Amino acid sequence: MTMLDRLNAHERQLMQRLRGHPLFQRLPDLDWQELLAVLIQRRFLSLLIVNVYEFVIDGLHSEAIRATVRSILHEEYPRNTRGLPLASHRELLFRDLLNLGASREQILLSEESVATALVRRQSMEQLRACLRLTHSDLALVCFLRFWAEVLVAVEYETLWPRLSERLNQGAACDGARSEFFYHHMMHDRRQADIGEVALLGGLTHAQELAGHLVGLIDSEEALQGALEQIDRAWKLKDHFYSQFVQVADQH
Amino acid sequence: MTWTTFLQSISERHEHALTAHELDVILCLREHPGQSKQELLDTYQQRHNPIEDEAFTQRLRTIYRKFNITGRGYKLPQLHRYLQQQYQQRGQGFGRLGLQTIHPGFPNDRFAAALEQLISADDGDDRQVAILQTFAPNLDQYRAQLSRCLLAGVSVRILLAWPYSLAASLRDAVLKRYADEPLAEDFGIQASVIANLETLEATIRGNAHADRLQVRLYDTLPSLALYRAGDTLLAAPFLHGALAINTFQLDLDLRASDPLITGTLLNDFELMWTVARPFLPDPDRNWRSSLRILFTDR
Repeated sequence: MTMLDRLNAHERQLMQRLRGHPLFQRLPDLDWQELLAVLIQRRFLSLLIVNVYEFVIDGLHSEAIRATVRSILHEEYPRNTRGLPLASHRELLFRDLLNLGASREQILLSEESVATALVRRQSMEQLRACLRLTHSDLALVCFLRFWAEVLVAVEYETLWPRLSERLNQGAACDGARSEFFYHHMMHDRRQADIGEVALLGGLTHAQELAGHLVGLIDSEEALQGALEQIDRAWKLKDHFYSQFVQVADQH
Repeated sequence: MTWTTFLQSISERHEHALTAHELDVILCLREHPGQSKQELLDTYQQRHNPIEDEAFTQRLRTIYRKFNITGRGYKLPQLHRYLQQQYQQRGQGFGRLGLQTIHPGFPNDRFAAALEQLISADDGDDRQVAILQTFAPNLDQYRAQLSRCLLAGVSVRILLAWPYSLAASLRDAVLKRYADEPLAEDFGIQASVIANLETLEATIRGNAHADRLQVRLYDTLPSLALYRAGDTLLAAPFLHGALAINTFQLDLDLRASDPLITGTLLNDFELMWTVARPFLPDPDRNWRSSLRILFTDR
């Protein structure tokens, strides 16, 4: 088994573990207000995305990787070709939440939970820890890719059966159309193994970043560093969703 | 190419610039020699409205001038000989393949005139416009005409590169490295395709027949840029050193008797149309997010 094979296998395993999280297992039974509470807390992680990306841009040594990370970050704030700003991805998230039935007050006045705040703080701490490692570029890209792209797509893909009760997608759909969750589920996702190349179709964000990993995993030490970062990213997401399981258990 | 299609195509050529009424006269010319002016007039009267002798003569004089018929004696036999000669040359040479001429760069006026003709024609099977490009740098200048095409019942099909494809990135990299003339500093295929989609979004907005416009995007690499308006087809290769519109253009008549070139190009357009994916830059929707994921499920 090559080093990339081991990394790919580990990624698939962690993605599967997140899909199997107890909260996602009981997702079909969650009442609508409980689901909205999860999504409103999840929004705090979305608000952190820009900080995470900016931190990685400043922390990277490689200009080529920085260019990729920068281009992904800039998709968060689309403009038309005349330079006029369009709705940001955070605005689209807000619209999706409204269309899902959350009120403005619910979204804007809900406080961040202690557990969410801890996950946010620990995510930034993890990025700082990456800087102290020998393979810091590799660590930053691995953590960023898994925390902000691969697992995000897993989260939204797992949530989608419930979200699609009130949100549609596709050109011909009627009613409220998902502008945020569906598109992130598609363009963030892992789609192919690291090292796999396809000439047709396009690259998701996870694939764009994966392109840089191939050359960086050149030793057992580097591989172990990569495995550790994806483990940390998974644990943070696992902790985030566990807060809702504990609340549900108390009921 | 039949005699009639030949007459039509030669009359449409830019250097002759015949009016619609003059074209009606030309189309009454018989293929075989010996047709007198009176016979020509009779044919014209049968097909069209009555016309005064003097007005008809005047119209013929203009036609002689536009075809540069300046020899002594009767001009009608001279015009006929000239046309016969051209017809035979075309039949033996590239004309039967539909090749009208080759332009050094994209002939803006030629395509604009072909669009106008299509808009004013009130029937026919080929009332369609089709464009195949990675991105069309000249699309915006045809925006008003494309809108009028839709209103006039003409179907418009636009086939562009999916801006996030590897193929689009490859074309972008090739042009940036090898283009003869330096491109604008901020040039990029991705933004250029999106600019085209914004033009099409503006074309759709408020157009009562927007459903006649179809847009598809592909993630492969075409070899030629195609601009079709009715029976006129302009084709140019994607060279390493220049944008397709700054490259020589084959001016083809789709009514060619031998479809070796025209048929092959049209078939390839249809093949690309089939493998491409529909995309509508709907003014009422946030289409940029949908654009980003159009091919991410391959």
